[in-house]
Amino acid sequence: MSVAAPGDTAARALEAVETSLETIAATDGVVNAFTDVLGARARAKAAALPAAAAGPLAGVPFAVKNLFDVAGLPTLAGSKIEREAAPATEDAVLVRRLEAAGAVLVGALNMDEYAYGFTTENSHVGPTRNPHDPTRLSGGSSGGSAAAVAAGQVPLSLGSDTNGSIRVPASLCGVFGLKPTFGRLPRTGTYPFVASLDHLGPFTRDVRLLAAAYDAMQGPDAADPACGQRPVQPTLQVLEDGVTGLRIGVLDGWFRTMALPPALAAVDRVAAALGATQRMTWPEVDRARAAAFLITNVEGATLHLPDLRRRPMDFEPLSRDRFLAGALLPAAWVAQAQRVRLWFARQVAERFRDVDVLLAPATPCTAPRIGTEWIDIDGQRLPARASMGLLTQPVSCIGLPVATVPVWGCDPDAPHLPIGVQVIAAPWREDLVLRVARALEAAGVVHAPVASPSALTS
Amino acid sequence: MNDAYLDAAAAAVGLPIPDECRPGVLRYLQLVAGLAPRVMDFPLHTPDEPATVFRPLGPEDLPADVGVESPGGAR
Repeated sequence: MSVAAPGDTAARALEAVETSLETIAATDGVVNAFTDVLGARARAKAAALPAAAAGPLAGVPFAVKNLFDVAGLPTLAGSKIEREAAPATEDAVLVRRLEAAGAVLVGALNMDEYAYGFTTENSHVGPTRNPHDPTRLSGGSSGGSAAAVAAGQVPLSLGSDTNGSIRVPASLCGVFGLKPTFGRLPRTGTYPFVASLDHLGPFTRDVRLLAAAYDAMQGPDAADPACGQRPVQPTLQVLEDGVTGLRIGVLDGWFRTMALPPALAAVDRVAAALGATQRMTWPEVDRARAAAFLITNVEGATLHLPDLRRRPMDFEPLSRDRFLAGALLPAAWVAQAQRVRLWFARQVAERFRDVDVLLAPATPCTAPRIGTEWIDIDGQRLPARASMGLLTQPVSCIGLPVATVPVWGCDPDAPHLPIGVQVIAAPWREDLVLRVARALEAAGVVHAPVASPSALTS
Repeated sequence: MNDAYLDAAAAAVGLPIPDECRPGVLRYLQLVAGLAPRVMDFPLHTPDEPATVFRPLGPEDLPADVGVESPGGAR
């Protein structure tokens, strides 16, 4: 442990990589976050770091949801089918950008097949378990990404979010997650799910690293047609600016009706800490959610139509029927859904004249047990898996930037479990959501501890 | 959304539905059919365009390292 001379970047990076690999080896039998561990690549990369490499990402081990291209690996996207795909010839753009900033890739992470799920109950490789309670769901579809960070396997990971797939697992696993504005980070070299709605973003246990990783990944890329041609807008230097002067409100209506008491308690605690008393209602939230649902079902199904025709029984049993159904829906439903989406985006934009930041729960409840089928919300018995995204889906439908922050001790029935709060801003204002997240962290209101190792070593 | 719709749509799309998937697909079609009115019943107006906006591409907009692939390329 003490071989690293101060200032020797490569030695410190190697030490961090070894610690990461040891933690993965000790805990992944229980957590099941990793589908590939790249020890040789990571050691070589760390050893080759120039002595002058500096900055907050230098020598930081990270891992990526297995829908990111990693040179030499087939890009699985959680599937069995893609095991037959040719290995990727180069890394995804965001992997390259993080490594260019000195971070070191150590592996690829479990997910719901083709990102169509909120639970990471992957039937091909088994579920990713919640590090804070291995009988519980990690959330999904980026469940491996959130769990790896919560378990202390890596300090940083990347995931994707189409309807909540960063925010849901961040909430259930108690880590920080950032879903940037739609179009902010290029998706080049990742396996798509729903091109109209796909976002990529980071998970960490502290806001400073979240902002540093996000900053390092910014910048346009011509190969992603949805990537906004925006200049880099760094957030790290404004991170400590605090919340004085920011108008912060709490979303009500749908965002309270569809949340259980622990989720409401988490939002209220964060709101009280920020002095946020203003309530705001968005109109027709359930229509926006229905629009995202339809667009997702049809675009996702269309992407996989050739395999759905040829080899349907090789798909994940938990989502196969959804994919098949999505190929059969009337076209007018989706065309209209895209119109509802723009209508809703305009309504919400109008409301951001009066507020800078909005708060809402990230999930209706704390992590359910693995295999849970039903959940009761607002007097209705709802399918548990799809309902994990009830509160995230309307927000990603219109591409707003969201930091998910972890709150603890809100569920009397499960006091050991976290639950996330969405910190939401207008498009392109990632700086605001990160500032608020950092202020909450500095005030001790939110934090992301490593899960107790005793429960995770098999 | 019933058996007749499933059969007609599956034939039109050219997507055989395996027997063991049929109950699940039907259940899911009914679930989506329950949500669709929230979108279809909403009174929109002519200026309410779709959120999808096409950006025309010239040669200068193409990424340097990716050519135009023929149909049926990866993904």
